[in-house]
Amino acid sequence: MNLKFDLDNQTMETLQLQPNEEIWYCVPRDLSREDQFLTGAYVVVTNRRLCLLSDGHVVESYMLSACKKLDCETMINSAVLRLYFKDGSIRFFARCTMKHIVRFSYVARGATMLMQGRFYRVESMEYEATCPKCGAILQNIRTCPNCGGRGSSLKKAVVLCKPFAPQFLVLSLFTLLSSALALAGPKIRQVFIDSSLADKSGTLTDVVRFILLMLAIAVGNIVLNTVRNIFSTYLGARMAKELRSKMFQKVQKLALARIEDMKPGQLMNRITNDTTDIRRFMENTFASTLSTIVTMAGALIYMMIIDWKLTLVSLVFVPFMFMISYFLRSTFSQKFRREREKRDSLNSRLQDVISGISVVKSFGKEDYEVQGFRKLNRELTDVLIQNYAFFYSLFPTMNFILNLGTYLITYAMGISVLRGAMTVGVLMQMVSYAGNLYGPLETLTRLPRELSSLFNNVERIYDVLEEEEGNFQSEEAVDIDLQGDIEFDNVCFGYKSYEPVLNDINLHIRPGEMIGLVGASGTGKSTMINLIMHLYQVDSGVLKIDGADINQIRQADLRKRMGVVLQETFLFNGSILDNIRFSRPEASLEEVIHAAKMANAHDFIIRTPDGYNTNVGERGYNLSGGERQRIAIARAVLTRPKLLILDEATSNLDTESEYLIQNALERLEKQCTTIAIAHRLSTLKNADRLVVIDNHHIIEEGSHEELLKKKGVYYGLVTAQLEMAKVG
Amino acid sequence: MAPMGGPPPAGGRNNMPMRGPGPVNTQEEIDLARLAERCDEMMQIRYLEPADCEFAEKDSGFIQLKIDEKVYTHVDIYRVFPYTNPAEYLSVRDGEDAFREIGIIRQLSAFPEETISLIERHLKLRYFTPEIKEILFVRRRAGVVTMKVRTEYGECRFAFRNNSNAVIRLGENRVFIQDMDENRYQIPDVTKLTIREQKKLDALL
Ligand SMILES: Nc1ncnc2c1ncn2[C@@H]1O[C@H](COP(=O)(O)OP(=O)(O)O)[C@@H](O)[C@H]1O
Ligand SMILES: [Mg+2]
Repeated sequence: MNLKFDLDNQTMETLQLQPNEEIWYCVPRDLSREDQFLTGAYVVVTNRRLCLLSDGHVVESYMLSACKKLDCETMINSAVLRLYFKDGSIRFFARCTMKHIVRFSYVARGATMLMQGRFYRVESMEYEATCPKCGAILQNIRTCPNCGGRGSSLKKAVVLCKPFAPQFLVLSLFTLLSSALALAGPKIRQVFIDSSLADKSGTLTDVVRFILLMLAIAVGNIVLNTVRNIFSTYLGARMAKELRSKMFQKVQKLALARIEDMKPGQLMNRITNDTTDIRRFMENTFASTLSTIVTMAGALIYMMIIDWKLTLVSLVFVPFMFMISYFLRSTFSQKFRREREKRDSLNSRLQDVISGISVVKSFGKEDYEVQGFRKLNRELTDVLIQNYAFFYSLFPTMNFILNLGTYLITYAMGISVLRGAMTVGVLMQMVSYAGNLYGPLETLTRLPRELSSLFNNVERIYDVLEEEEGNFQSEEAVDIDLQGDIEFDNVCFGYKSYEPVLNDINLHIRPGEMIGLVGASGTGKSTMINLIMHLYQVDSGVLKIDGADINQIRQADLRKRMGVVLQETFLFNGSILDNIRFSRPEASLEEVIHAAKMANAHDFIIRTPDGYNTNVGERGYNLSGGERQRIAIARAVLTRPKLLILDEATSNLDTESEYLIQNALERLEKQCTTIAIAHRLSTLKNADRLVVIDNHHIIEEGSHEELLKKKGVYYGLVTAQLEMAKVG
Repeated sequence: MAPMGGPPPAGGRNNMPMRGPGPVNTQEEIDLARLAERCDEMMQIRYLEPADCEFAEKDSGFIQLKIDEKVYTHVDIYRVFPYTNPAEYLSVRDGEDAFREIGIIRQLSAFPEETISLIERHLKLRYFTPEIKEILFVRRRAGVVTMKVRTEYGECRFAFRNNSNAVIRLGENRVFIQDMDENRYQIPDVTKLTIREQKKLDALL
């Protein structure tokens, strides 16, 4: 992300930089104190001064030496910079919208460092959300599609179809053949009528031959169409399958932060619904539409050959129909939208209430919900009836208008036939082609809608496939034999960089140590663990594992050597055995039992109906929260980890089980580094070191006894908990 | 069934920030008293009366509040119901001391003129959700919508993806549009737009 915007020469002059003065940061401020959008206004930080620019003029300027800090306060959808002077006064400095909020936070950090005499340049690795040149949306890509060239939806569709080029070729061939057959029929009939019937010169053989020919064409058409439809269905299914697996593979590789950006629900939709839509399009629309278009083009050409003037005249009704559908377009979309809206609100209400049925029942609100649902249901039905009454009266009318062209042709050519200027066979042929031309026109008016929804699907799929993985692992990353030495060196991190969660964290965890992380909820304990697992990338500072920068270590290998129990225990659909073995599928049954014993899970597992084969997860046997946690602990222990991470792993357990598990784990912990988070502080009493986090910082560090003596925050937490225990 | 994974019952209560106690002799009694005090504080609601409060604005953009002879040099004011009741129920908080609530203003209109304009200015600084007064143009291309609108902050242009959840309806007629930079624009009442504008919007909603 750019933190140093270019200024034009004139502006540079008004800045009057001193000989050794240099611009360090220059970012736009796009909102004034007086609630106006601004353009051409900047915040400029040099190595000596802090200036506000407006329309090429310096409006405010302060020496850095007079300032203490520049603070960026996040407001609701905007941010404010405040300048703190050494003399204690504070001044409102600048304001920006969300567009520049990340820049503001970086500049505040950078300027403050300069004020403190630290000449360290902060840099932002974040992506720009929109192209600085043309304002187009950049979704986690560095080059703008307009300015850098990534292509239109059509191009993307072509790219997606490319691997299937041979199949498409075959399909086109079938299409051409079946169109040719469809067009041959009327021609053969014309020859038959004009040469055998009109002057009554034909024989019985001619009639039989004609019938056989027509039969052959009909059968050929059926065969060709069947094969073509089967083939396009097959092609659609293949494409959907390939896209689905490509997307799934991609999602597995994406960094967690990227997946969170995309919202998991949406991602699921893209993988299932969007690919299904593509399959449906291939199945129902693609082949038949292609063949319709080819047939229409052929019919038109034939008609032009026969009588181009008449053909053109008969086409007058076509623009008429396109005009009608153009004028009705917004009515259509409005009707469709109302239908979708009503359907959506019905569906979401349904889902909401059924997922929360226990709450509904516990408050006795069933009747209230029935009333609400009935209302939505009625509204949807009303809209449906209205819409379909409209559609069913409109479409036949449009069809009728189109067919007026055929009447016109019949009239004009009928007169020619009577005058003897034309044969009956040609008249019949012309009318058949007119049917070929006008019949499907009405379905074609639906094509734009179908295409635009297809292109939307393609965009969404492409989005996932083109997403940068965002794994910050370096190219030369290597495998390590994890020892469990972890060092936080000035680490800062926030899920959004303008909202720091951890600030200036310095902590060295030595191999074999047991560390307890303590702090109120929401202070960033789990976040520290996420960083160690390299699920997210630190914003600044370095995180070292065994002395090496974490970016230099292969993620998969690192995580393989960790045993992790996350705060949210998630069990997959499958047996208890599968779930424990998930971490190390090759583990022997005895190892699984051993791990379960350590997690104090063995005994309750035995009591379930199918023992280790009991099905758990979404639709399986109902386990209590504590039982789930114990399975998760067994899963973590099974890896024989060098680094064990327990994030409130025993929070749902009774004190006795917790004590038992702790004792068991302590034996394991002798060999491995352990980082444990627990709310029940007694759990962490035996930790070698406790680290207390508050207000984004580590504020205390030491053993249980040391911290108690210190009578700081930890002491407060412990006494509060003792009181709780007493009162409760 | 939903997987259980929440914090333990005791965990929730740890939310309150704990300060180290001062010199303690009979620590247990004092701690109990402190806890009870904290609990009282947590439960208390004070509604601020115009007669008791003296608001003033500083250069910093911070608001100063004098109440009961006590001076808070930096208070922040939040709306409790930002959209449904923007000028009622304003929570006045101590900006220096960890977000502590000083009190709640029931009705801003009950306060003197200057205070009203001062607090309104402050709220405008905090809540930036431009209201779309006029839709100048809407363009849809390749799933991306670009809009140019006039708001009370002036004209502006923004873009968002049409297939994401960028357009959110709140209540019957209020619509929020979130652009790529996560700025939010609001249309308080869609039905108040001109028919032409509604048509332009139709494609998006
Ligand atoms: N995935 C996430 N995206 C954005 N913010 C998050 C995410 N996870 C946690 N946070 C925020 O980060 C802060 C620290 O969270 P966390 O580390 O889970 O706290 P703790 O584990 O100490 O209770 C919280 O304010 C939380 O809202
Ligand atoms: Mg946590």
